[in-house]
This record gives sequence, structure tokens and C-alpha cells, in this order.
Amino acid sequence: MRACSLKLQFALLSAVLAVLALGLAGAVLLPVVRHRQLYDLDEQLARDAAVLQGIFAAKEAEILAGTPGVVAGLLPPNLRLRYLEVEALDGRVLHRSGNLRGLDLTGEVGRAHPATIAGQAARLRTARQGELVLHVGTRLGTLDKTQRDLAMSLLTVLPLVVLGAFGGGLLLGRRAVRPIAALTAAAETISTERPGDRLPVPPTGDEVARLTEVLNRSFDRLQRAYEAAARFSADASHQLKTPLAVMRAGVDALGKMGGQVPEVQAEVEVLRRQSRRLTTMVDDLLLLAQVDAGRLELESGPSDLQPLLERVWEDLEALAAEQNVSVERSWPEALPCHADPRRVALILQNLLENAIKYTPPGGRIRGVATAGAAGVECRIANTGAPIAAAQCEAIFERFHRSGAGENVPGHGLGLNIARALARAHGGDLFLDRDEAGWTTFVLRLPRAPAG
Amino acid sequence: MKVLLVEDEPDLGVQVSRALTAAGHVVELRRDGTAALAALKVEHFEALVLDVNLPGCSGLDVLQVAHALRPRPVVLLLTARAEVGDRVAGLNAGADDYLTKPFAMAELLARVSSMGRRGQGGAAESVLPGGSLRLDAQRRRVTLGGQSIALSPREFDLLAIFMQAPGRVFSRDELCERIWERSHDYDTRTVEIYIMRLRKKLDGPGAPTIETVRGCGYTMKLPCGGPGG
Repeated sequence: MRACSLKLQFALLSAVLAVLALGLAGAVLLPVVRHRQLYDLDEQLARDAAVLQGIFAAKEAEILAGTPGVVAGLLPPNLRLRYLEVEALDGRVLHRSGNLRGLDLTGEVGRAHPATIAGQAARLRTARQGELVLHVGTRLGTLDKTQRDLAMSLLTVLPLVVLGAFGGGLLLGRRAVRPIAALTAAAETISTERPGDRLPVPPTGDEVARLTEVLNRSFDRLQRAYEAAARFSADASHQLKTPLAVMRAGVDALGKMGGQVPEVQAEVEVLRRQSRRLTTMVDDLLLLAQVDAGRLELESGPSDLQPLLERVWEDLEALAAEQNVSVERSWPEALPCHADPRRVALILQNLLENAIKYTPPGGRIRGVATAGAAGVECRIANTGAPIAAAQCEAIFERFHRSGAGENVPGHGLGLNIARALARAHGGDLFLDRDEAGWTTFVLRLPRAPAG
Repeated sequence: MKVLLVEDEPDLGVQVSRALTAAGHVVELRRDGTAALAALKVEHFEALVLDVNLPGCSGLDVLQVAHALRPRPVVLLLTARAEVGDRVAGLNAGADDYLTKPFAMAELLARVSSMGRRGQGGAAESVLPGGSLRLDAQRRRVTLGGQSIALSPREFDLLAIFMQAPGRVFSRDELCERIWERSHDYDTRTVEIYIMRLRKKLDGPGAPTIETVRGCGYTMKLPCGGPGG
């Protein structure tokens, strides 16, 4: 995953957390505030009731007599907007404030309780003064408005908070990722250019420092393995090739001593051929050892596949005529690519050797190559027993031998080497089974240097 | 030529030394780098045949010392490693040529004598004469009695091998080895086909002939009394 996306994840997470925090704050704050306001309101109603009790105590008889206008005349100005109902103990209504519009109020004495008056939420308190029962109430309008205001202001700051959290998260993320990005760049340099270098361990002792130490230990192990593989390749070359050279020189000397005696020369020729086969085998194995160690060296440069193909094709045509195999070819004058000609010749040789090996008498071999902006594509196809879909990759394995061709010569490394070489060039080699009756190997080589 | 041969494998040292002596060179054999340096101090050699992988000090160290000598000996490096880096390092350090083990003794002798010619100021020939046949290696053209003849790339390569050593018998395997870097299953048969084709194309007055030496291989015979050779 890329560093920027990690930063982005960090920022997004911060923003989501901020929204959650704000939501939680609202969920806690709104009920608490409402509860507190209700409490205050109830207190206020209790005080109002006490004031009214004080006032009505003196005029109780008059009020009980039901004289209209008595209660209204007694109300202090600050209580005139309250809902007020005064009843006698027997339930007679002695006074109703105008805003009640004739509604009847009920309630338990000494307690505040919610009510709905004329469709609006309200709070009531009921008190008793001698023979009188007082219901004092007020609307909850201001309380609801406060709640709305509070919710509104929370919603207003929400985008600001989200933006701030996102920006802050981005900043923090970058700060956290920066040492990792530096580490990545340094590790890349070590793995590609300077395998002897190690990552600088920061003195912080934090997670990044520990990661650096772990990476450095991995580099140590990798370098040891790499050096061992490189040493093997060099040592094995020397150890295997020197005795071969002695044998080869001995065979040459014997050949010379034997003069023109056919029996001697025939034996010498057999020895020479076998030593050549052995040399090829050793070369192949050493080449694969280099591939495995990741240190296959190519002498790549701007090259033309065409002359290489011409030569190998010439070999093929010479043999095909003998084996009653017909060949067709089609490619342009030039096939420019970026490659090591010696290695590419080896790939082509292996492919054509493979084609002639598996084409039955009367069969056909076809070579088509095209050059494009990306590079060269060369298709070597032959008729013959089809390769099963399941075998498509297996044929590129080492020492793989086709079940159908147990009697054909070769040591089963050809296709494996050809593919390894093609890939080392930044190209590829694969099998295409699309055309019925044909087995097609497709070789691709890039036009520009790999990487 | 006076040749210093430095090779740590005793058998190979003796074999190469014997072959070089038989070819008319005077050979001193040393088994390690230190002995080679000592030999270079007291005697002058025209050519060095040097194994890269030596005990004592490396072949490349010896090469460096040899390179500073005047007159400078020509140097042929022998190595087990066909890796690009080694080859480039050897040639950069001043080697004149490079041969990978195992090698055909004839190839080594040919390289040593061609290096010797170059060392004496002779240019590497690009035109090889053979009777009325002329082969221009650089321009890859062949003429027979002034008439250009069309050869395929492989036919040309094969003819060039014969023309570099007229009269020498080449076994089929040796020819294969020179044409293809890597042995393959059908190479000897392919060489036979190419020789048949070449014979047909070289059919003209005054042209050399490629003859079969029964059981031994092939050789190119220059026409009797013809120029060149």
C-alpha cells in the first residue's frame, strides 16, 4: 500500500472519529441541558405557587364564594402569563386564566408534571391552599427552542470539526509515515544498488527503529545467501570446467597422435562429442545457478533479432528437409529490440530444437515475427501432438520431459533456460494453444531496456 | 614465439605446453601467480597464456604487471567462467583475447598465433585468399573468380573456418563447436548438410575443394598451383 493512501486512511479515520465524538457530545449534552432546564422550571413554578398561596390565603373565602374577577385582580403582573386554574376541593372551577381557553387542568398536589395544553407541551404544578387547589403551569416553548439552538450549533460546527480532524489526521499521518517512506527508499537502494549498505537505525527506540533493525538483519541474511550462491557459481565453474578442459585437451592430443586412422578417429570423435555435451550441460546448470542467485548478467544493447533468427532458421530448414517437415516463415527486414544477442540466439536455438523434436514427419513448422513500439514478438509454431492445458506451465519446468516423447533426445532444460533468459531481458516466453492443431511458443523481447 | 604459460592444473599445463611446443613455440610453464611474476622479472616473453583463477595472486594481477612491460607481451586469458563481468574485466585489464574452458587445442593454437601476428604489427586479415576464391570477413562477401557468390550465414561461417586453416582436418564436432556456442542434438547432421551445400556452391574453376577424410572429418584443399594458401 502506498504512503499517501495510508495518510488518507489516517485522515479519514480522524474525521469519522470526530463526527462520532460530536454525535456523542450532542447525545449527552441535549438531555442533560433539558433535564437541568426542567428542574429550573419546576423550581420556578414551585416559587410561583408559593407566591400565589400567600396571596390567596388572605382572600380564600372571597375566592371560594366564586365571585368572578377576584382571582384575576389578585395576580401579580409577572404571573399573569402563566396558566392558572383555581378549583375548590369539590372540583368547582373558581378561576381559569384566559390562555387556557376553558381547558380543565388536573394534577397531584405538590408535584410537577408534564401536560399538553392546547396542543403545546407544558409543565404544571399543583398546590393546595386551604380549601383551594391551584394549578400553575407554563409552556415549554423556550426550553424546546434552547434544545433546537443547541442542536443547530452542534450541526454548524460539525463540518468545521470534520475538516479540522481530516487536516490534522493528514498532517499526523504524514508525520508518522515519513520515516517509513525514508526507510523504503533506503531499502530500495540497498536491494538494487548497494547490497553492502545498511539502513541507518534512528536513535528513537520506537517502532520504526525496531523495524529498521529487523530489516537490517534480513539484509544480512540475504547478502550472505547471495554471496554463497555467487561463490557456488564461480567455484562450480572452476571445479567442473577444469577437469573438462583436461579431458578435452587429452582427446585432442589423442586425435592428433591417432593420425588418419578411422577407427581411432571415430573413438576420438565420440569422446569429443560427449565432452561437448557435458560442457553444454555444465553451462546450462551454471546459467540456471546464476538465474537462481538473481545474478544473471546480460550484455544487452540495441540489437536486431532478424539475423539471429535467419541463422537458426537456416539450421531448421536444413533439418526439416531431411525429416519431411515443411517450414514457413514470415518476418520483416529488421526486428529491433534491446537484448544480449548471444543469449537470444540460445533462446531461439532451444525453441527451434524443440519444434523439430516434436514435429512428426509430414508436419509443419511456422515462424512469424513482428516488430512493434513495445518490442519484438516471435511466434514459433509446430504441428504435432497437442500439449494438454494442464501441461502448459509444466513444460517450462526443469528436467520436464513430455510423456509423448520419451524417445526424443535432450536433457529437459531447454525451455526452462529459454524462459529464464527471456524474462531476464524483461520479456517473456509462453505457450499459446489457441490455434487448433498447432503448438505455438511466443517469445517477447522489449524494445527499450528493462526497468 | 616465446610463451609463458601460467596454469595451476598440472595436467592441463602439460597438455597445453606440449601442444604449443609441437606448434613451434618455446614454452615456460608456471603453476601460480607468484612464480609467473618472478619469471616475468627475469625473462622477456612475447606471449602470455594465463589462467585467471590462480593460487597465490590472481591472473588479473599478473596481467597488470605484464601490461606495464615494454615491449608488451600479448596475453591470452583462459578461464572457466563465461560470465560477462569476468570477460569484460579481463579485456579491460589489457588481455588481447579470451578463451573459455574447455577449449579445443586447435583453437588455442590459432588464437596464440593470430595474437602473435597482431603483436608484430600485422593487421588482422579480413580478406582470406584461397585460389580463385576470396572471402572478405568484414563485409561478409565471397567471390569466386571475381564473381560474387551468395552464401547463407551458416555457409559463410563454415567456409571462413576452413579458409583460416587450409589443409587442416576438422572433425565434425570441432566444426559444430565453432558454429554453435552450445551443443544441440542435431548439430553434426546439420554440419554435414551445410558442407554438401557449400561444395555445390564452390563448384568452379580454380576453387578450393572441401574433401572428406574418411573417419576423421573434412579438410579444404587449395587448387594445385593456384595462388594464395
